[in-house]
Amino acid sequence: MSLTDARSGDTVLVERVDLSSAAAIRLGELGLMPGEELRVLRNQRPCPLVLGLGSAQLMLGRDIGDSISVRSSPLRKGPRQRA
Amino acid sequence: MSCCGESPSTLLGDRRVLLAGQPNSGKTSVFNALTGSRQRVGNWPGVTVERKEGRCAVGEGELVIVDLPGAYSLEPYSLEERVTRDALAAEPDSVVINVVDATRLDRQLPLTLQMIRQGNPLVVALTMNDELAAEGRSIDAEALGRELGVAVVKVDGRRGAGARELARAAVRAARPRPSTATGTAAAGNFEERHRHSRNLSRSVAPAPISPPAPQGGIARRADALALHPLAGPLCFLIVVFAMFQLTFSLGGLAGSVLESLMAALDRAASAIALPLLASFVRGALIGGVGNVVSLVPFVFIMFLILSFLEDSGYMARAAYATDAFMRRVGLHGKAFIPLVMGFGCNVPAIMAARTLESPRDRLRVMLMVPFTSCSARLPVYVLIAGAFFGPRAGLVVFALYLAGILAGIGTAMVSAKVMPAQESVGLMMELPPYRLPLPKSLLLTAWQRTKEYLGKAGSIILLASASLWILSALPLGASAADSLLGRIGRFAAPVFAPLGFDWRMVIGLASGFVAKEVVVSTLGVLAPTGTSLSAALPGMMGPGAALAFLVFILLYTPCLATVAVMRSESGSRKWTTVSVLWGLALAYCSALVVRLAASLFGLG
Repeated sequence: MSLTDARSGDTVLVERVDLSSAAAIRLGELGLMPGEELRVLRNQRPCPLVLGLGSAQLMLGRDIGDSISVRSSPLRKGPRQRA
Repeated sequence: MSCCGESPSTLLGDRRVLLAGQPNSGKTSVFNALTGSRQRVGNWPGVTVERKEGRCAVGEGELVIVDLPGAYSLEPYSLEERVTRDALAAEPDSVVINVVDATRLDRQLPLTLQMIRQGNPLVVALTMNDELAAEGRSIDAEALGRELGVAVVKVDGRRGAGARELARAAVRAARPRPSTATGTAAAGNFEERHRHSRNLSRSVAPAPISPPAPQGGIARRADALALHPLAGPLCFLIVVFAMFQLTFSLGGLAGSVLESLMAALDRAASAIALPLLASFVRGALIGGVGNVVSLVPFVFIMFLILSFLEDSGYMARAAYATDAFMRRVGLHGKAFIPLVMGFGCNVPAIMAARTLESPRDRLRVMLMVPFTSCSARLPVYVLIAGAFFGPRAGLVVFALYLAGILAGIGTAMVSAKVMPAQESVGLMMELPPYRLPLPKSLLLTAWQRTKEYLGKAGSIILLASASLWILSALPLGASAADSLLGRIGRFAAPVFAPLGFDWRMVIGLASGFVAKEVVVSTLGVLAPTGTSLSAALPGMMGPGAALAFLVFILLYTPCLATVAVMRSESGSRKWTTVSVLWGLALAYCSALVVRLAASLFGLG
């Protein structure tokens, strides 16, 4: 599924980033890359996504989120993290 | 500013130290703690990225601290990051102080690893240790230093503790020494860097790093509101409204003091015995420069509030809240802020476009800003709409503001088509934790930006108002209509005849190029004497022409200061010219349409 299909509270694993190389490199520099685990903190239309990445929070436009394929993380799942 | 490399270091050594770190890492407070207020601000050559330098005494020598723009990575994406990368590459022997936020070590170390690999001698300044302590954690600085092969110093930017130690560590790092950074330097691409950083963070900080820095309940509740799909935009509107109110009430207060000061100066100048000199001082110096000076309080307060919004972390939330709306015109959330500021004054608004990463977005926003109707246009609206439309004047003014917004949106749509699409990829930014900014650093930043405005806008306005004065004073003793300015006005009048403007209105528009407030005084000088200006106006133009005149005032170049700032901020003469011509063309065509429509409805 794409990142924008994940629900707030999900923990997902990045599978693929289908963006131009410049944008993909940028995301990688920010720590978002295939194999990485993300916490979806907020996913509310039509607002950008808010993701937890390690100790940081990252804001991503929905159009970028559409180009990132993820799957549910085998480690944790479900409405965790209402912190 | 110390000249790059050209002045040889003294015996004691004026060493250059480059201060680098990610945005929101506490870099500015470390810079302030090291240098106090001994700072200079300018731009990096060729780009409009802010460049700050300061001096810091250490032992018997002095360090020149160069504050590099915030960067997430040396793989450049934004203008800021390119500047940082180039600065490091240009001075391979200068020590780098890398500011690292201890609460987000795993996210900050990738840049550190990259810079160590780059080869500059490096010292890590660890900030936000008190926040980490509040979570019951701490970082083993020595262990981290061992792992990285560089000195790690804990610094409290707010209280200045550790700054001296940091400066000494920078001096020590500058001494040639065998490189110990071996194992780390292998971390090449971003995957390796991030993995390595995560492992390092785990090994030097006892508690697991991975849960997101959950700030206290207040921050969470603030975000529940600021990042809500409906409440978020509402919050943003309230913040913007409050910003306006504060700017105009406080700025207006200080501005009126400055204005009465200018009026007093004007009276004093009228006592000058030489009439020509008196006229020059009053018309060119006090009239031209006074305008710029009386805008200073507005500009300063606006910058103060903006720095607060930036440093507190709210700006990122505002970008979130407005993103959905701005995407409709092909921009993203961050672009909204300069546009809103434009209603106050276009000059700081254009400068605020700096906060956008993509040069294309910056330019597009800069082209939109002049159509947000600034406060200087209001006196012209009030005078003319009041004289012609009586009770319906308020409606006319409101319609003008709306028309300005439409022109801005239209400009955004056209520019999206015309400008070569770049690798533009929507919103991609960190959501920084909320932090209470230090008043001292806010004041310092606001003052530095204000000084910059004064320098840029002041010199150009002085030049322009002096030239206008000369045109109106020559040939000596001529009447207004026969002065060079009057002749130019009459020469250009046929071009504006379809709009219903006579030569006096044309000169009014020409003088409004310097600043919009000037239009009122110019019309005052040219109007037949004997009655008040608002009573004389209906004799100079019909209501249809007046409406067309208002639309023209709204849409053409706001003022010379705007042009000057656009030139320096865009770094492009071409796009500045495009902006001026586009405004003029839009103004002319819209005024023509208005005039024709008005005559259909029987307004002259």
